[in-house]
Amino acid sequence: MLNLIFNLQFNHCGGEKNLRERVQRSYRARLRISARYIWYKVKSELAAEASRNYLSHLWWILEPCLMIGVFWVIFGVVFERGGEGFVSFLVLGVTAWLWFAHTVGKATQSIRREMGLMLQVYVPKYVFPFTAVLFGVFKHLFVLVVLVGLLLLLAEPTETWFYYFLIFLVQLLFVLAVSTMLAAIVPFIPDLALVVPPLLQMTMFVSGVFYPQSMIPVRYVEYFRYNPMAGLIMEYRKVMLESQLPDFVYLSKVALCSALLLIGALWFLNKFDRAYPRLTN
Amino acid sequence: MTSGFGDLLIQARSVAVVYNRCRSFFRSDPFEALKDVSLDIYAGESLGVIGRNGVGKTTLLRVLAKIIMPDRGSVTNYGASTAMLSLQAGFDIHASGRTNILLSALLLGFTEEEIRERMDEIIEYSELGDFIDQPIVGYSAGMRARLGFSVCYYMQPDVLLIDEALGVGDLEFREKSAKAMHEKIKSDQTVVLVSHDARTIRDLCNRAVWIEDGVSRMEGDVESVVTAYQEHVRSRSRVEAATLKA
Repeated sequence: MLNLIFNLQFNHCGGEKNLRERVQRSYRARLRISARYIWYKVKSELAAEASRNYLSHLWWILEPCLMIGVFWVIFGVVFERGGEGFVSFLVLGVTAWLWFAHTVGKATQSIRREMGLMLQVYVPKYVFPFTAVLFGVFKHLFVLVVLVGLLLLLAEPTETWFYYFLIFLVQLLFVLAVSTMLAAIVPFIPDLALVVPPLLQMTMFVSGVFYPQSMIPVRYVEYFRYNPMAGLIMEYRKVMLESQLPDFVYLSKVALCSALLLIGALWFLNKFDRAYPRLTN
Repeated sequence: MTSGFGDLLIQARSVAVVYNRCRSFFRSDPFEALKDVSLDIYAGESLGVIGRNGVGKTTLLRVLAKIIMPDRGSVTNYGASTAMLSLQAGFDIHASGRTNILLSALLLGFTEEEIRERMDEIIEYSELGDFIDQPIVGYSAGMRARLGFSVCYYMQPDVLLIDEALGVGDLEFREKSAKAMHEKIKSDQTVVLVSHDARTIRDLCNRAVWIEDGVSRMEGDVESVVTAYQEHVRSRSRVEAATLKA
């Protein structure tokens, strides 16, 4: 048998070099091909976004601005609960929240939507949620450069600003984990796709996007922080507005749980890799 | 083990695929697309899979392309890459023709270097000229088909799995593409061609398998397999005509 395989690998390709190499294509090489696909797919999606609407990328900025505006009017002006630096406070909360909500919302259906493609060619399924997440990262970075740039004008940078990137990375891991897990499960339970948007909406209200932690009674704070988005938004504000060090223990807990969730999701995707194309319904 | 062709590339034994069609959360109807299919694929041959519509030919190709796993039986692959001829797979209508070549060929399992090596040939073959850098949303259906075909023509796996139709695009390109495909099939390229049409199989293949109701009935030289298939179809239609009259 070994002899047969050996013969095949070196003789059967009729002298075409490329084919022979491809027969022995390693796991790493396949990973690289997937990575390149994700990269070009995201690039063309970013360009597509620009060509679809008149205001194109301006909408990416307008949306958080509108949200910030609404919260500012309601809580800052009407209820007079804003206080000093309420705009910066909202900018940090809203941008972090929208990044999470948009990406998760987009990723949820990412595998289910590509059923047709899956029946034509073999695609490792993690490619679809990962594409959605990378797209979200670029969009978020674009928004950050503009809005956090604005913050720079409003506040004096401090040393703790550096930790913003650390919290950013933890949130990225969290977003990736949740997106991949949802994308993996939704094809099996399509009804879940209907639950996700209202669930996201509800989560926003308990994530402290538009109110500070100090407004929560102390005995509830612990439970409040079980929601990673609430905790992360708090940490962003701590390092950006209050010149405090982030809670490293909390961040590592979130990172660890996200990593475990991501590993679980990837295991799930791998296990049912060739079952997804059959779920056409 | 050889049959006048090259080495054995893929061996399928008693392959069965059962689809569960969901009726509701608790009920599902099992539907056996394939029950018991066995076949061998040798390097360099063109294997015709013949059978009436809806006997599981497309499902069989999906199993061979490793898109789905069989529920029973085994498919042993001795190291050949396989892919279905899927025109325009993964095309993104907002991206340029050039980007779409990349997207599609990456999905077919080629590295970026391999694709760039053949990029010029692909573009030339597609006859798109300067349009290649335009988003394909502005292409006509025929132009898109040409681009899709060119990618598949230059980016081929060791074993190419073809489902029915060959020619694509407008009339002129359809002739060109069909002719190119025919030449490809008759050359060293290993091909599995699925069709319900006896003439296509006779013209293009040098070995054939007949599948009926998800079971492989016969495997061997084209003439005897196709003749047996045609006799079966004729007797079937006679029976159907008789029942219609009665």
